[in-house]
Amino acid sequence: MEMKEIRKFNGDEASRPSSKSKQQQLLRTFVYVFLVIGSFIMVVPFVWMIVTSFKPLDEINTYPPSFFIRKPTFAAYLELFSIIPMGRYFMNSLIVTSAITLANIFFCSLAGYAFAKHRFFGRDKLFLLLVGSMMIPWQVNLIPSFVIIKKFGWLNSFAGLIIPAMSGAFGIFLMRQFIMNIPDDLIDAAKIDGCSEFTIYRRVILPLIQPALASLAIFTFMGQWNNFVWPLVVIYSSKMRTIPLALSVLNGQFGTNFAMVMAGAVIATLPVLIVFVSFQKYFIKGIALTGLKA
Amino acid sequence: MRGHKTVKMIGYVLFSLIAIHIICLSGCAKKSGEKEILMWLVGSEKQAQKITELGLDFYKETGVKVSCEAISWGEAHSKYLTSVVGEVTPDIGTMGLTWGTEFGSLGAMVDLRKEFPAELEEISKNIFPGLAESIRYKDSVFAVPFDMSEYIMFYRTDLIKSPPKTWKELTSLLSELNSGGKSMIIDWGGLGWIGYCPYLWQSGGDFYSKDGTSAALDTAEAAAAMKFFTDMYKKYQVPLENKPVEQSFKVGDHPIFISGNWKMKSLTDIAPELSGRWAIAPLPAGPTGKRTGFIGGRVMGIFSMSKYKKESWEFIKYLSRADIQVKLYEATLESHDTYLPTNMKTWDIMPMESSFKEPLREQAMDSKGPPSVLGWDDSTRFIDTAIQMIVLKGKDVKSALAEANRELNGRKKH
Amino acid sequence: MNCALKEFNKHKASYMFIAPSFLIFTVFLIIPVFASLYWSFTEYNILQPPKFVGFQNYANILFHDPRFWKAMTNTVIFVVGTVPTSIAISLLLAMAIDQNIKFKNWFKTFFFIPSITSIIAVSVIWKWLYASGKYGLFNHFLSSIGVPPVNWLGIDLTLPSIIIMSVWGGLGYNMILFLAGLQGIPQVFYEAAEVDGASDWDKFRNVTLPLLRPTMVFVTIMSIISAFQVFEQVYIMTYNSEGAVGGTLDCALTIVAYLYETGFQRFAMGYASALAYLIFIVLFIVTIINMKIVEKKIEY
Repeated sequence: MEMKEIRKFNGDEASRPSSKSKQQQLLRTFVYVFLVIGSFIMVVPFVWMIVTSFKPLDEINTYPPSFFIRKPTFAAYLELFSIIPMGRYFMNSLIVTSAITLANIFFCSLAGYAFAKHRFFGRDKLFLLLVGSMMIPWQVNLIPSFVIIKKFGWLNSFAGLIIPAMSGAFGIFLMRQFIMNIPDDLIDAAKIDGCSEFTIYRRVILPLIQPALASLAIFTFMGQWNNFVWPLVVIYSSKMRTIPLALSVLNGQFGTNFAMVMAGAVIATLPVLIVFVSFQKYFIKGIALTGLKA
Repeated sequence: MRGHKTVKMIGYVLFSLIAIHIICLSGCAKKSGEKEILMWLVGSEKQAQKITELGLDFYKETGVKVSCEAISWGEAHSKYLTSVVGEVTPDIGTMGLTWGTEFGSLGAMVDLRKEFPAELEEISKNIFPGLAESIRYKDSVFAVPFDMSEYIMFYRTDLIKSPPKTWKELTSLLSELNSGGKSMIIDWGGLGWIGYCPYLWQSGGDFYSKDGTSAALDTAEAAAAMKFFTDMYKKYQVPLENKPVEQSFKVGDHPIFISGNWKMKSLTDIAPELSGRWAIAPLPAGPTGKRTGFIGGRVMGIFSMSKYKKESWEFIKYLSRADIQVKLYEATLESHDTYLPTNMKTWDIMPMESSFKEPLREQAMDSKGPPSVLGWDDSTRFIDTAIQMIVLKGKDVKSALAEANRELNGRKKH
Repeated sequence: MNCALKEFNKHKASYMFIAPSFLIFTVFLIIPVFASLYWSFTEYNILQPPKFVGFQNYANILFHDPRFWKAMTNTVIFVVGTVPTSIAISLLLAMAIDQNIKFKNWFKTFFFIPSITSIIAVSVIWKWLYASGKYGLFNHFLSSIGVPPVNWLGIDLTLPSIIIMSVWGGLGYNMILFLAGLQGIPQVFYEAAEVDGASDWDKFRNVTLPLLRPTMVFVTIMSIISAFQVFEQVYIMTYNSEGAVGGTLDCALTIVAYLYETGFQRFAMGYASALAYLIFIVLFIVTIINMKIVEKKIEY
């Protein structure tokens, strides 16, 4: 199949036929009200986190609590950077998280495609095993996985953080569900054109599941960026720490400096926000299958 | 496809950054024949850095390097556990007061009493008696105190004329406060065994019998203490729910509260406008005339897998010295940590206003820690349940305590 | 043997496609899973070798452990309280955002923000919202309309309060999945329906829902699994200074919180593993039923 034809499927955003009836107008107003109120409820803690990070200590626990800062200060950020070598931890986190995200996008979509569209011996059993494995709480697997990493000699290394997370049941399941939606005709047509399986995966499947890949990328990045328990047990030296590990030791036993904790949280959150915003564009209506005849 | 170009660019930049970073990391690997001990501190990064700094002086004295790394409280237990399993323990670990016994009895920690009996005796002699008693398990001691936190009473001097000195004075103060719609907060350990234990001890009781062989919650003393403790909630309107202590103290709704010494730091930090209008005092005395409070804290011990046990012990001794403890204490004044020295001699030379120092010292002299009985951590839940059943579900004191007593006996390990 | 080889050759590509994932999977998940399965039949304190005890852990849990049943009940309440609500609201959200509306990307970002906000910030703010007496924002609001303050984190309401917070925190996640699913529905189906004079409701029922099914299957199964294993929210809302989790008289103790306490605070890893396998059995049955129900509806 020619690339041109696939482009046709990825065609331009088809505008919905606009009907200007009163009912529609009312519905639209309702939708906006719903979204605006909802957004407000969602964003409050985030705003509060940012506001607190700029508060001087004596304004943090005021009664009644206030979103207004009388004397905004950078003190928390300055202190944070003086205690923690942020640059290094940031890079550690970035390496681990991007490697895992890239690997997941590739391995999960590959396996997801096989599970969704191929017929082979043991497929359904393997798939059940995959889904079933998510039902065991990770807490009980922590110690055996840790012992295995140790046997490989990967304690305190990027390998120990990255390799076990390069693919996952969640991602494969997600990819399979989305690839199932792709009509078999497309794949068959490509086969008739003599495309290899990998070419089909690359040229037909991947372009069609961009929204799903974007969600997988966002979820993986987010999950790994905030991952705490696994790095906690695998990493032993302070120079290998990731951001969540570094932030967890800002608090003393009876941690009081909330401004600094919140400043840390703000810094840790920014990359995820950036990733989310930049992957947003893949959620555009009309990417998939617009030209297909029903 | 303009988007792809940008993505590619970002990719290249990232890749080169990462390459540089990895080269740097591997270049940092140290190679030296010097002895270096690693210490984990359950606490804050800032405090860990201070200890590493003190380690520089130690290096000058002994030629042994020390590096201290912070681990967070919430996950410290799992972190130590996996490090023992993976045989990657640090040399020295600081941990919760009862953990030393817990890990030590499973063979993961060095029995200091067996290895360094004379020197241990020297250290124990100088630490507050309640703490010294708490770290001893049968004939072993697996860890010595690093710092301590103690129970203490806070009150607003502009709203309360004089702090209650006996149970009786406390109840009459509470009645007076109640009539104005106010009351007290029990902050540390409220509705749990930590909240209850001071009254138990003040009335002459204890969790276990003197020889430690059986639980002792079925005594008259335990019942009297429980009645007094739970009445504060039921009769004298001590709030059942967690109230923000600093705020209600500031507003004046709860001009008196019982908590840990760390609240001194947070009151100074977040309620500077109250400065000079609050004070601390030891707990009111019970029927025995004692004002016993609860004492907790962090302990430090040596892991069995350590290659440098002797050196580690030297450093532990170093951190127990009065002059070093003063330095640690001074460092916490600048940070947001709390640290109270455990060596009684430190208290003679440390810089602290005497209006704070004396009540704290007096209380620390009359304080006890958690009983050092194996299986205790497993049993506390039943005491909590008894208290909560009495206060929230109206169960009677006697039968609730009898039930807890049975569970405590059933969970005692020998 | 020959036959198996032929079968392999025929589907070499398929096996190659799943091979990398399954290699990682076997080493880092399947082996640990079997290790903990073995432990569930032992008495094991992690630091000393496990001692085989047969089915004793399971028997103790099922017949002599009231806390297990309390935790199980709480967990089921949590699952029933969060999963349907969260799915319904996030589907509505996704469909609202999927319309031709302005500020689409802003709304998407706003609704996803709880998922990326630091859990510390989230817990602090919710504790403030729920704070008792006049100190909490919810109570402040209630008192302004003349309702007496409610003890949100008291013994009766802790679990419902955690449910509300969890629904709030999980909306963005499911919304993103539904949005991705909605993108996959070819526009022509809607156009065809419109030609037939279908109403909005007809379009939703006959086009959107059936074509969203794979996404729905995924979201439902994953939501149930993760709700059943809820831990973090319970931990941050109920832990106390002594390291206990679950709240006053275990009012919000969930099964994984109980497992965590057993395994990592009390070093009873054998018992904790047995708990894990009981969770597995329940979830497995629920998932199979779930898949069966959804599959039945698949013919369209």
